[in-house]
Amino acid sequence: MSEQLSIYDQVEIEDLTFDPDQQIFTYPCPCGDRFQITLEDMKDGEKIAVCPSCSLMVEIILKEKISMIT
Amino acid sequence: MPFSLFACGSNGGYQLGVGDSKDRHAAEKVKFKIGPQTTTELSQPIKAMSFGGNHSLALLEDGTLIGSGSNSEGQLFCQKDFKQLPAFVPIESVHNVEIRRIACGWEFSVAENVDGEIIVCGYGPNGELGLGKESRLDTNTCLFGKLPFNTNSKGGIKQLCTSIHSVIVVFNNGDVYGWGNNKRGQLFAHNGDRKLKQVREPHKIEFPGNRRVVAVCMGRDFTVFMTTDKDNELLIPIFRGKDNFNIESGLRKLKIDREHFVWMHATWTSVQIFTRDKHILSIGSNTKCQHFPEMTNSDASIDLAAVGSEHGVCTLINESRSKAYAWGWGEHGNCGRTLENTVTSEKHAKDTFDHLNAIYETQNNEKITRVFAGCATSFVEVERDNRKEK
Repeated sequence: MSEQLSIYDQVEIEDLTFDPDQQIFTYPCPCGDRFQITLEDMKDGEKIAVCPSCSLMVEIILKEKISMIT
Repeated sequence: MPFSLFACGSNGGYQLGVGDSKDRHAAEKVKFKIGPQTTTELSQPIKAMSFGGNHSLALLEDGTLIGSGSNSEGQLFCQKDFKQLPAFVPIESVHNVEIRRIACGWEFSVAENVDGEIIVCGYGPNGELGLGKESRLDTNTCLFGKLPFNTNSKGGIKQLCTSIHSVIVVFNNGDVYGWGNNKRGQLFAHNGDRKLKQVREPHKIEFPGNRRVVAVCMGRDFTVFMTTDKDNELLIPIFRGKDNFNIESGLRKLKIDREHFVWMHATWTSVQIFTRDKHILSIGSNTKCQHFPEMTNSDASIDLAAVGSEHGVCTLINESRSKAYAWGWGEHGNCGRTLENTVTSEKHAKDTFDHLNAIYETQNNEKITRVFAGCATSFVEVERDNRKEK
């Protein structure tokens, strides 16, 4: 429950921006920075993207396996 | 009488215009470089402000546009060589025609000038610029694009509304156009058609039963259209997009009629509705205390108000524009400092404010004239009466 409370919102994978150089997905954070999650972490099953500038986190919604998308 | 602008909050991209990129937890005077010297005073009031992820635009009363913050994508109508503007400076590229209206998205900006042109700049990977295939402009040759219609031929703009990745324009003749991100159906139903998920040119938005749009607001992934029937009596909210926070059912339960509705604005996950009796009704997410605080004092009617990405700023009528407050998510200082005697109840993190927290208090010769809110940023415009100083 405590983890549920700390998730700010859910974002669908198709809304994320993929940076092929850094191999990370990003999405705007209401603080002005961007939530980030690496492709590597997503392949390992990680679904939480974090913002480097604040405490907010978003959960990534995946409808298919990450390998299908990349 | 000169005007000053005080700012606090998130500032990683110089968007507060205070000269550096450090966050501010207490309101500080914004810097303007309008003449040869940098000042903290304006000779005229600000008519409107709008904010992207890291950039801020301010429209002065005479139609001059000034801006600060990140220009990494040309979102301040400037050449990308100017990566950022640390203080507010006049935007020279649009200087020859008076600007009437502005709105910013994540890394793009939209403006309407008095000739009735809608001009766009910055980066729009979802078609936010509305210019067709292009997601960005080559700022060496072109600082902004023009959309293919004239607003004067549609009776002028009633409302220009942006979310982080979409734009909606409501015209006085009743037409509504939208473009940009529509992946969640926040503009209109795309029925799975990939081409309609990213709307790269202005698209006419239709409503059932000839309803007219009175007001529109956009959150992160949703839009609320406040509409009326043809007799202009009933107020009918229409929700489009993804509803993570039960906003559609919240709107349905809302007891507000045409007479009592004044305006509405969305944070990224909530909707704030300002009523004729000077209150704010909040629906949607409250995990960061986005809902307007319950007031114990029944006289505490709201005077000025603005809504940011996940917080709000206001003044109260019974305080004669002497104090500005903020509520909601204030992790970057945009809701001011936490005072020890007004600690937010324990169920919320210390950086959220379930009460009105003072962010600015005037001196005796000052009066708050406007409040503005952006992505974790707050701005308070203050007018100083020089005569009272003597």
